[in-house]
Amino acid sequence: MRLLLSAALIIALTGMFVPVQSSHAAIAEKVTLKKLRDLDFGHSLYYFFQREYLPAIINLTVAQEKKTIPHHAHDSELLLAGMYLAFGMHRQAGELFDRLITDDVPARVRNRAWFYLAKIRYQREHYQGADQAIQKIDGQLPGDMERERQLLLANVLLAQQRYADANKHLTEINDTSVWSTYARYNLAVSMVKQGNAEQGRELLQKLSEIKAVDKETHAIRDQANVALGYSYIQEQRPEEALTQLRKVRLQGHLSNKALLGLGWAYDQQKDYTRALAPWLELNKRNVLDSAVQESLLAVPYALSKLGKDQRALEYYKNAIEIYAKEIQRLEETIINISSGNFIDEILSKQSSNEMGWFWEMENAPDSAESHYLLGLLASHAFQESLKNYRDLNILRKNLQEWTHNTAVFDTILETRRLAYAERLPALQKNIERINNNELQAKRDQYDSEIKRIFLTDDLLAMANNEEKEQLQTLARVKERMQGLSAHRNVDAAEEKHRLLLGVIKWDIASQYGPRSWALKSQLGQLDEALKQNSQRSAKLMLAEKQAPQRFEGYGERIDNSRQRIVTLLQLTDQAQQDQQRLLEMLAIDKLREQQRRIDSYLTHAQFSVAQIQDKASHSDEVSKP
Amino acid sequence: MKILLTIGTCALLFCTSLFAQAPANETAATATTAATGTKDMRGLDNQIQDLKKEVLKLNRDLFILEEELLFPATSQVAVFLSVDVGEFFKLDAVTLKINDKVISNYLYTDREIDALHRGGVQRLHVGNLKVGKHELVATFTGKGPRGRDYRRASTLVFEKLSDAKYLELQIVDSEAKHQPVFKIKEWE
Repeated sequence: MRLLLSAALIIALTGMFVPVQSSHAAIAEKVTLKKLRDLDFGHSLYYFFQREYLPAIINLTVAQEKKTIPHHAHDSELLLAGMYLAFGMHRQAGELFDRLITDDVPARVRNRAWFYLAKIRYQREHYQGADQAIQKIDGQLPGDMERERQLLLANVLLAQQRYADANKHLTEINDTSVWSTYARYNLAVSMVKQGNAEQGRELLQKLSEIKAVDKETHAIRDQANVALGYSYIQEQRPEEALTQLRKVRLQGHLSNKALLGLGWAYDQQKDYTRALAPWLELNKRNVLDSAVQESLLAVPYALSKLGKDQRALEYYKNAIEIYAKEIQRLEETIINISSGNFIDEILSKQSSNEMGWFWEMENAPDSAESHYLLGLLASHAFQESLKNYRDLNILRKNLQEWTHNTAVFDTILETRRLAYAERLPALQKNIERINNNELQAKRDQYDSEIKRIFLTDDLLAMANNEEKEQLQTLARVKERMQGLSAHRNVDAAEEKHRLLLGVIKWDIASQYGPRSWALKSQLGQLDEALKQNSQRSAKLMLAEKQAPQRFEGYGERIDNSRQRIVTLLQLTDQAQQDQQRLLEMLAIDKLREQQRRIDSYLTHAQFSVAQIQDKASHSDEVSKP
Repeated sequence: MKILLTIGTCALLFCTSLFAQAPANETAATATTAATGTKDMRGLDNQIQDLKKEVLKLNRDLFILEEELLFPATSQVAVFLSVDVGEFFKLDAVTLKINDKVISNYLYTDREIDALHRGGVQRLHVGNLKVGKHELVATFTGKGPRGRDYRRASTLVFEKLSDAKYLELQIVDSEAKHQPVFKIKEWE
């Protein structure tokens, strides 16, 4: 049978952690053959490969409980731990992986356990522990896992702010994948933020020059150029900022930020006319974007610098109107989120069966809230919470199914109980009939008679029916002859009688062998029939005894389970409400933050209007005689 | 995902500082809320993990109970299906008959086919049979070599004893014949 090596399994598991890599890993995976001796293990894999982790976990734990997969003990533990991880059960996964890092576990399994422990620790922000776990891996991991391990190490070093080590490591591994590129980008930005601007920019410069072959590499190039541009703006180096920002694609999702930055770079050169061009372009774009919102202030600012206060005033007033509307829209969005539809709206676009997904931007509802919340929606913490919420939905559905099934179990048991009660009297009657000792007594009687016949050579007892009739006739003749003997001579008749009796005895004696065998054989058949009867009786008695086992005991187990279901359903509902509130709170906090930002724009615009009006009134006063 | 988030955050850090300056106390308030949110999130996450553990335990117990109740070992017969390589045959459906009675008609999705190709084993049927001789007929429908419609049947007469019977339908590629081979294996 075909089956698979753990390597394939682990490659598939790899996908659980780093979402975008999962699809690549799945494509890259090619099963290697290994004898799969336990069907139950294969059955769990069937669900696992379909990313249906709940049935996969259940089947595997049932098989473990029933001890039906002895040949895959370590692999099934590894698989189970991986699935726990995919199902958001980090603690259980960690405990299982911990159990797999002992010396009696094969190195290939132990290495993978260390790898996953490193990932869990990294996710839990226990970076030093993650680093230690990576160092424990002995030799190279198979396939793509090795590359992922190296990138994980880079991210761990980065998280520990060991930038020089991270840089050195990334240079050494010379990985050209998009994940390595992301890691290098993060490293570069962290360096800039930490004050090591030159080195950070050097890295960004390299990223801005990578060959863009697909959507992702184009995005990274744009990202690097925007980051470089803004870092130059912060250092008042507009010329260099302009060079970088001009490289950003006009239609890419970063073009708004690039246009805004271009304006600020021109502003630093005091070239307000040129600054106006990108900002006016931005003014035409979607007002939900923060760069567009900022441009609403930037345009009148530039106009004001150019001495066109009247036009600036119009733009400021327009900005005030838009900001007020946006603040109102955000307020309505907050109210909408509080009503509880937001989370379900987000989840509605996901498959209800598949687990372990990471919610993707493409699935964002086309609404104002998703635009404002993109950053939050993409965050690991939010995704994990969203998955928890989705998992709770799955748990509730599962528990509701069991509520229904346990009711069916009750019906089955009741039917069995009734059937048993109906059949019991007939059953007992049968048993009684079979167990009746009369049959055995009769058999014993026959046995004694046969023994007596053989012992006494009672030939007449072996007569057949015809002979018995003849013997009875002869006996009657004899009786008559005795009555007549006083008056008549019956000698001739007596001689004839003796002769006839002798003939019968002769016939019987000549068949003594076959007749005695027939007697013994009949007794044997009788014994066999009695034995069968006894066996039937035993079976019936066993059935009578065992039948209640088909319903007794289950009732209690079902009742216990039902209580557990009720309790767990209550806990699930409560946890889901809490999770929903938490997600809503995070979203609302984010929206409030946006509100505050727009509010500060609004204040700025109002202040600028007041300034211009004040300036105008002063100039009026000056111009008055 | 953490990586992506970092990218997004970094870009915003550069561009939101020019006009919008949130007051220091507001920034502090946001940070406190975020910290509280993270703490709540961790606590709730732990709670949900415990809940999942309990639900999984319950499922395990109920699955065992269900099997004991509905398919006791003395009468249980389970039919599995596996695919080895599968280059010469793309499975669409399987029909199962036991003692000339149809017990399963299964149509496969692409995802299920993929899972089978990667080493998964499907439990196609589980039911009850009396002790004694029985006949299983499995009919496989799909696309054979060169994409042609393909339909084959396999038969097995088996003896059901007093313990559970496991049968496995195997679809195997025959490299020599460049044809799929359909087998039924009895597991001891």
